[in-house]
Amino acid sequence: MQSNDVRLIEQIHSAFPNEPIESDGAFGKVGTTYPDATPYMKQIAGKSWAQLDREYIVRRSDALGFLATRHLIAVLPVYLRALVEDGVWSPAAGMLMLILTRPVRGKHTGLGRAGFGALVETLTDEQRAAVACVLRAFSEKDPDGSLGKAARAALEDYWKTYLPAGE
Amino acid sequence: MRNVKMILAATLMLGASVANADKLSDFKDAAGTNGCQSIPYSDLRSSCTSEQSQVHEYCDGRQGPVTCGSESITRQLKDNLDREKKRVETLKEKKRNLEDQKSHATDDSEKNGLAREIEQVDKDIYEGGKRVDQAIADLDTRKKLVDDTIYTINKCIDYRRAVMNVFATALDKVRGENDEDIKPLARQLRDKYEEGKRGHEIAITDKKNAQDNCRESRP
Repeated sequence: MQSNDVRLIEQIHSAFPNEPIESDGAFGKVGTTYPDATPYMKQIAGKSWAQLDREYIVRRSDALGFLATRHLIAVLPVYLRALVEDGVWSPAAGMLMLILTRPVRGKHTGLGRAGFGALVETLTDEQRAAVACVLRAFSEKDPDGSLGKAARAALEDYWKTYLPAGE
Repeated sequence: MRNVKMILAATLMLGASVANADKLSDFKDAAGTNGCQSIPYSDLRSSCTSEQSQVHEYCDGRQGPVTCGSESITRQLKDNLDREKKRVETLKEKKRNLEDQKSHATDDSEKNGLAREIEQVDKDIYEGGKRVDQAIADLDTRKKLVDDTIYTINKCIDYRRAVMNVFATALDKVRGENDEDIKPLARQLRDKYEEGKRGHEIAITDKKNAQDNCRESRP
């Protein structure tokens, strides 16, 4: 692993608290129809994000479109870490790009304006910076690929404001 | 005769009442849970569960690869093949020049020296040919991965759509519920199904994007 990847993982660990996740309400009204809601909730119940079964959680990246904001943030570091470690081969890379891209006004893309707004408002500054840094590193690793371009677009459109000063 | 009619009417009423109680119970159960179990109609619930098991088969990678990585991988492999082919062509050109020089050489020591050089170039051409073969094999492997992935993702999208459509059908049905006891639960379910539509759409969009990525990655 490259030293920048190690730094990014440290940054993710520092930004996202390693606290047990309360699974109740993980899939609220928005997530009722998620067919894997129950097993996903069992997986996350009472565990911190670092204790989660990474393979299972990453494979179930479709949950990101159904999770309540608070729970989305609770598991987000697992997906960010997978993006750092697995790069374009992470099965969750495409889904992460979708939910981290600010939806275009008037278009029903990604989490939708309200969902994206709720996500970024609930994240702390440190967490937003971690997301921005991961997106930047990913876009630099895949500059000509569609995933890398999507990461750069998401960064340019919204997240770059949260990159550490001077970078 | 009159008694028989009364017994028949009472039996029918009792049957309807039991069916209604069962239906109400199904709605109560559905309202308190999630996933396919949140569908109060047994036929649709069963379709949902069955389609979702196929989603797992095709979207989780059990039936084949689900990601092509980056399009740039294909470009790198193609560039590598072109580079190796050019190297071999350059070596062949070099060999032709050396053979020409050798044919015009007058003294034996020069001829021997050129012969040794030609021998070395032959070895380089042979090694270069092996690298070309390897580059072709790598590109073929990539092509197979890309084609397999496109197939798997296609199936994955089909089954995800099927699950979404089951909920769309359930939405239509709960909208049509008229029983006063069931109506409030049907409204709850209707709202949940409507709110949940986006999640299904995101999951399908993700797979469509992945498929586009694969199509761009075709060698």
